[in-house]
Amino acid sequence: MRRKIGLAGFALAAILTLFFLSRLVLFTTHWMDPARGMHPVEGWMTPGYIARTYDIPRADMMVILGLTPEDRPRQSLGKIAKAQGIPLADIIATVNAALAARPPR
Amino acid sequence: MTDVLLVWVSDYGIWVIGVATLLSCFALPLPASLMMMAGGAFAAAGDIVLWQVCIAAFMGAVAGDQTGYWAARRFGGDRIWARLARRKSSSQLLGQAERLLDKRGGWAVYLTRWLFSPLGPYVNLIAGATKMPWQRFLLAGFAGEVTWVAVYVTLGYAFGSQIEELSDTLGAVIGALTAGMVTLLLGRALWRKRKAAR
Repeated sequence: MRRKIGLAGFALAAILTLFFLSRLVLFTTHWMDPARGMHPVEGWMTPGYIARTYDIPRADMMVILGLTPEDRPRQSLGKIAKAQGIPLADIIATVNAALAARPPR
Repeated sequence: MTDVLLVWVSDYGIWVIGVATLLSCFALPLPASLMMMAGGAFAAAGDIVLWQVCIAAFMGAVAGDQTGYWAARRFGGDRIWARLARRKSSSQLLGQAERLLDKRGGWAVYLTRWLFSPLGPYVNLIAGATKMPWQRFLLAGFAGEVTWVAVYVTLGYAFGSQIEELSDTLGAVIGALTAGMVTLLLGRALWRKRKAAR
């Protein structure tokens, strides 16, 4: 009986190991894929985070989002959308449009 | 789910990170590592102060470790352990675990803070139940949590634009390492028993 429990534990641990290894391979190949592109803009991101990630000056980012330099910089897009009374999808679209409109470097 | 957690970090800052590392010591499935990386990424973006992220994450983690250790040591964990150790069916396994902790307990605590982190909460309880010397537990825990915080906050700071992808990948690495180590330990125990039985 105890031997059976031991063997079952061993088998379970081995299966888990294989499971995590296959996930690792999946994530790594996904990550290496050059066609993957940038991470999309999402509601949790802050203006500062977007500025750094997509390489755009922080001050420009504040202007795009309709914020003044006095506004609190650390707030998520979701919060900004709520404060301005517009849907989150609209504010994400605004950011995406501004990013797309930049001259290529 | 990850989006909700990341919103918390951007809305509430370092407090959420401290609470996440605290709760992770109780084996609650809160991805504290993702939140530390988010803290590092927001610090790189200038939204949070880097050292505050580190301190909050470290304090939460150490408080969680100590809670687990003392809960097991003070509130009957030692008695449960002693009872199980007297039982014939479990005495051998528990005896082995106790000898291992006695010999390499510091390393076990250190490595289960960051490299084999899914085992951390259980090692806290076992360390308390077997009355591992508190100073050794504290020092190894400190060192381990410093490593854990430093690794994840640095990764978040450096690769901030891809924290979700990075978190998934590292989660798989840690999972594979932990499950692999458990597989090896169980395999070794089974092998020895078989040899002894012959």
